[in-house]
Order: sequence, then structure tokens, then C-alpha cells
Amino acid sequence: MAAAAHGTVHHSSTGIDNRKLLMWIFLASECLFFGSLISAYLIFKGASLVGPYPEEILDIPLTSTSTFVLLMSSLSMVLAVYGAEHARPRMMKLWLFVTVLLGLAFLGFQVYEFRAFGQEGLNLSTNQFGATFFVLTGFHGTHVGVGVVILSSLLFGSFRRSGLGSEAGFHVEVAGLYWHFVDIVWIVIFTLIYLIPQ
Amino acid sequence: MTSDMAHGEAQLPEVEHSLPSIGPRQYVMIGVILTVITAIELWVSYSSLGNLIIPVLLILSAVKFIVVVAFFMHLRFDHPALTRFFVFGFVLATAILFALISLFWNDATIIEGTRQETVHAAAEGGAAAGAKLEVALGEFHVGAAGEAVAGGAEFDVKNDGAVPHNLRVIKTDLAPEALPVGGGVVDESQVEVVASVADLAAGATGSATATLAAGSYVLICNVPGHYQLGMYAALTVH
Repeated sequence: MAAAAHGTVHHSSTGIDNRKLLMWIFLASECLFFGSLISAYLIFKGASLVGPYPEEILDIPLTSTSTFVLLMSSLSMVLAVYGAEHARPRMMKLWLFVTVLLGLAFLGFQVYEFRAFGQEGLNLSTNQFGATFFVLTGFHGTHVGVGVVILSSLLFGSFRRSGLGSEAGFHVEVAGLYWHFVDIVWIVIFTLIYLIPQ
Repeated sequence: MTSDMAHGEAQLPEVEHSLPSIGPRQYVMIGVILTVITAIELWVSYSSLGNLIIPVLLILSAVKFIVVVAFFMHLRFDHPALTRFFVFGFVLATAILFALISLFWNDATIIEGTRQETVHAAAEGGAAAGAKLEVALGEFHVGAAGEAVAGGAEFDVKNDGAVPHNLRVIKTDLAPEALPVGGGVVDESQVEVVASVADLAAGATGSATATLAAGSYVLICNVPGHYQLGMYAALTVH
């Protein structure tokens, strides 16, 4: 009986839905993950003896554009969450679709950047800059990719007859938390790796 | 049992289901503010603010971070415990970042390890098991054969002098005496270093491997002042 009760009630002793709590704890742990990768980049920054070096290869105008794209995807995401929480499915679907498109555009920018760097002779094993840069931004790109998959599945799910069910707002909100986290990590990466002078 | 369960449920704090009190218009305004901050960041990074650039960029970045977390992620409107969980993780990550940087910043072991790895990286997969090129370093000259054949090469370096010297093999079309200099040394960020041997004490030997493509190279000692004193030699690879 108690188990049955637990099956329907998702709230922890704090009063917070435990699925949402799990997402926030996961995001807190992700801070440690990205913090370590950023530390490695900063420690090895300037330790490369052969080029290409960051100042000769980083394309700040291009990355500023992709940063703007990711920022706008956060805006479209929060509008999708608003639509889901206020029982406005068309609004939710529209902005989820826009978010997926913007996420794919960001990934496109990253693929273009990686290919351009490859043509300039920079890869994972070229120097310390290449090793730490590709690991850091590559893992971030992977997170964006996972986010695109999650949002796409929600978008496809929303077209079913039953939609996303009675907890549509909750599902979209939790997916939105992940997406916004990917955005704030990029805010830090963009500043520390691209904007701060080498 | 039923009364226990009822008692347990009664102890659960009230669940907050209230939605954030801001709507699409406010979200768009926040989006505009974030865009403006990003534009300011870009302007600052190209500006001539000198030492202020880094703190200004960090502050702007922190503002964007907080705005997204507070409003887009609804942390400002959500249960305070969520803020505490997230802040705990973030503070821990920041502490790890500062701890690692203070431990390893300019660490000699890393720099030396990098030198060795870089020499191997420059050899493009360690294919350089070919010709040996002997290089003798002294005050203040670099003694080496002037020509070599393209392919793998191993530079066997000996410091015949009385003070420490090192070796950098630079691929360049510039004349040996015309490399870009800054702060008493050749600015290695402006040239392509294909092989390098770290500082060698008097009498010590060292080696480095590289895959040499056809073209012009310059061998130098990049201990401060030594290049200007004449420690360079041309190497043509056919």
C-alpha cells in the first residue's frame, strides 16, 4: 500500500518533486565535470610549444554568432516551457521546434569550426591547446547533441493523440533545465576560452 | 498502519506548484538584455581597457550566468533548496578550479612534459627515425650541417659551451638573422617550431625528432639574448 502510494507521489521530504531534484543535483555534478575540464584548459593554456596557438586560430566573430544562437535557444526554450505550463500546446510545439533548430545550428557552427581547425593543422594531438580545447568544447557539443535528442523526443511526443500527458509542463520544464544549463556552461566557456586575451 | 501513513503524509511540506510570475514579454526582455551584454563583452574583448578586460569580462559573464539561472531556469521562483543544491555544486567546482590552477600554474613539470610531448607531436606520429643531424651549441654559435633530406630526422644536440643552451628548429622563409624577437628571445608564437630541446647544462646532450618537409629552416638557441648574439644556423631541407 505504501509502495502504491510511492508509485504515484513523486515528492521528496523537501516537498520538491524528486525527479526535478534529481535533475538539479545532476546539474550540480555537471558543474564539477565542466569545472575540471575548464581547469585543465587554463592550466595548459600557453604551454604549447608548436602552433597553431589560440590567438592565431580562434574565430571570435564566428563564435560570437554561435553564442548568440545558443542564447536565443534558451529564450525559445523558456517560451516552450511557458506554453507547456499554461496549457498552450501550439506555443509549446512551436518554440520546442525553434529550440531544436537553434541547437542544430549551434552544432553546425561547431562542426564548421572543428573542420576549419583541422585544416589549419590543429587536432587533439597537435599540442596542449588542441588537446584541452577539443575535449572541453567537444564534451559541451555532446551535451548540446543530447539536449537536441531530448527536445526532439518531446516534440515528437507532443504530436501523439495524448500529447505529453497530464505532466507535459513538468517534462518540458525539466528538459528546459538541462538545456539552460548547457547554455550557461557555454557562457563561461565563451568568456574564458574565446574572449579573454591569450 | 493507515494512521501512520496519514501521519507521514501530513508531515510532508506543502508542495509548491506556483508558476513563475513572469510571462513571454518579460522573457523576451531578458533575452534582449542577455544579447546586449554579449555585445558589450565582444566590444570589451576588442577594447584597449588593458588590465581591466579580464575582470570586466568575468563580471559580465557572471551577470549573464545568474540571469539565466534565476529567470530562465526559474531558480528565483523555485524552492530554495534547489538553489542551495546548485550553488553547492557550483562553489565546489569553482574551488576545484582555483585549487588546480594554484597547484599547477606555470608548473615546471607540466612545461617540461609539454616540451617532450610537443617534440613527439611535431614528429607527426613518431615517424622520424631517419637521418641523424648533429648540432653543437657554444658561445655563441650553432654548429650544424647546412643541408638535409626531407623525412624523419633526429637532432642530436650537445652543449659544448660553458653556459646553458637550448635548441629550437624553426621552419621559416625568413633569413636566419631576421626572426621576430620580443623580450630578448625569438617570439615562438610567431614562428613554426617543429622540434625543440629544453635547456641543456654545459656538457649535456639532448635530442629531438621531427619530420622535415622540404624547405628552409633555422636552428637557434632561444635562451634570452643568445639568438641576438649569433646563435642561429640555416638548414635547407631538400
